[in-house]
Amino acid sequence: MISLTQNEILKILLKKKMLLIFMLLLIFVSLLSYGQKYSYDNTIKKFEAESGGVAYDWKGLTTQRLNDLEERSGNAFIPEEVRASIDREMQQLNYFIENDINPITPTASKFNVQFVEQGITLFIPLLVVILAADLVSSEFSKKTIKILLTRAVPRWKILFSKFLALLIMTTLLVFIIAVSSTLVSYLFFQQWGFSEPIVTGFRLVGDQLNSDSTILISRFQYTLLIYSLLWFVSIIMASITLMISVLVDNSSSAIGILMAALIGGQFLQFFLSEWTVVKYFFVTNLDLTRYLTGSYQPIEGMSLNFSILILSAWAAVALIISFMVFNRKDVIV
Amino acid sequence: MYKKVIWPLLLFISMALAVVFIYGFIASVAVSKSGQSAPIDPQPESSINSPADSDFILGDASEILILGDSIGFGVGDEENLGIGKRYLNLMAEKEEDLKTITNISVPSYESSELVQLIKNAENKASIAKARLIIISIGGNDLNRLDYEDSVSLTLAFKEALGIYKENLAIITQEIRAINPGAQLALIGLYNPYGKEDPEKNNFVLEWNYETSLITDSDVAFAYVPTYELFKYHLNDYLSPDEFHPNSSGYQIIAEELHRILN
Repeated sequence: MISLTQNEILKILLKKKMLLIFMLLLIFVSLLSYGQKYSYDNTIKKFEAESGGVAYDWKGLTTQRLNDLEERSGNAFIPEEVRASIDREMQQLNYFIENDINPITPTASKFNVQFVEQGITLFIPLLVVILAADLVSSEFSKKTIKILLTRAVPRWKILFSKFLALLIMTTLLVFIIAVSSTLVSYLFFQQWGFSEPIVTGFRLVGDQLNSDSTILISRFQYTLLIYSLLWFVSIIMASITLMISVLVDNSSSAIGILMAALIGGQFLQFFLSEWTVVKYFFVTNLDLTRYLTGSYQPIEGMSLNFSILILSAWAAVALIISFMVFNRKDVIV
Repeated sequence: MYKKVIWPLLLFISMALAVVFIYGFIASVAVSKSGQSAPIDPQPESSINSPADSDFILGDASEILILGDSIGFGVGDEENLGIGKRYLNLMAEKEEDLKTITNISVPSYESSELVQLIKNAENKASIAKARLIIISIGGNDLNRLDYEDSVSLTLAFKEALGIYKENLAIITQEIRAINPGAQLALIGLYNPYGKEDPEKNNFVLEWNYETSLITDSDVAFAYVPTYELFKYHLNDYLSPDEFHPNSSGYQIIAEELHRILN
């Protein structure tokens, strides 16, 4: 079993898929961080030009915000929970003032979280698809499946070793995304920013976003949380891709089907948000990070637990189907 | 090379990462669930004292009541008068008999929070006694959409508008249940962002239109438009935070209110 997996990993490495993915990542990350740096510099320049050559005074604005919050916190009419969340925001602003950090400065840690938040629905799943789509289908199209199956091992073991290899490579892929987006954006921004505090822990009560239970954690911890969610999503995508790869016998149609599913899923969510069945589709549930940042639920009744459950169900069904089909498939190549 | 170095390395790294990710995954589920058991208490502690602001004497007949968010509160007004006092000054020229102001606005309040504030028994007395109730709400409901990405923006706007309309209807009902006779006035929204984003203008206009439909359904509920007032004068009427009105901005709102009500 281990040697089978070892063999599968070697096959993936020899295909130079990782190199392709890494190059894609490098190009996108450098472009995006350059763009962010450029627009940040422009904003500051514009601000300075508008205010007549005065240097951009973030401290004044932050202090003003802080005073405003203090005043609110002192208001007798606001309930205790709201006061607690105001206090957390004040703590956050105080950190920026004490450490002399402009809160809107782009940093490497902010960038890599943003990259995941934007990429988790389309770009990163596509990278996983590139990695996984030809795992089984290319064995059929290149007719190497015959050689593989003539070994004295049961078919399910062969597929399982492929799945294990895929899990290992997906985990590495998430790590590579984290490292490359952090390092490349550091080159542009020259700021790590991993110790900045950030507010998280929003939850939905009824229809409303509730910030009573928010907590303050460092950006490093937050990044870890975001990447863990990304990892989970990537594993799910890998399982679904494996199924498609077993069902179709050439890799380009496998990639095509998955791309159509991913992009079509975004459309579905956009046009049919009234129709509640859409929330059981896996693409609609990919965006797990939005539950941590506290943005709105796309369709009513969706929560982190719900999405995790739906995604796990999809992956489980996908794996069951792939093992059943792979075991029974006629090999006529 | 592969069997001796790369394979064990890959295996080790991915196992270590998997452990870290599983830990982080469990942690993020826990974070998003934290405090789920803690019930929210809709009623703030009743032991909280009445506002300590020396200008107002609660319990006394206060004829103008200001409810709502930072604009009702007067954030950004250099002279610290707010809409209420500016309106009062305008009335004083005519020697009318409205005299006292109670301001229970809370900066950053959204419509749902205002509903809770109105339902709170403590505030019923001041609502019951008021002859003019000035409401400023909705700006924060709408402004929160800034954090949405462009794909979900329209959806989020519709949702926010729906919630806001419901809340405004509840607010009107609650006030009318306590005080059927008072004159109500709702301050409309202006667009502090100027021409940067035409879509935002549409949102503000639609928001104001829906708001004015609701105010129209009540006989003594005036809608005070501010969009047109601010549109060409953002530099003159906005305070340095580029969001709240400055003293001239508040003055122009108060004048508009005065013109509409008299």
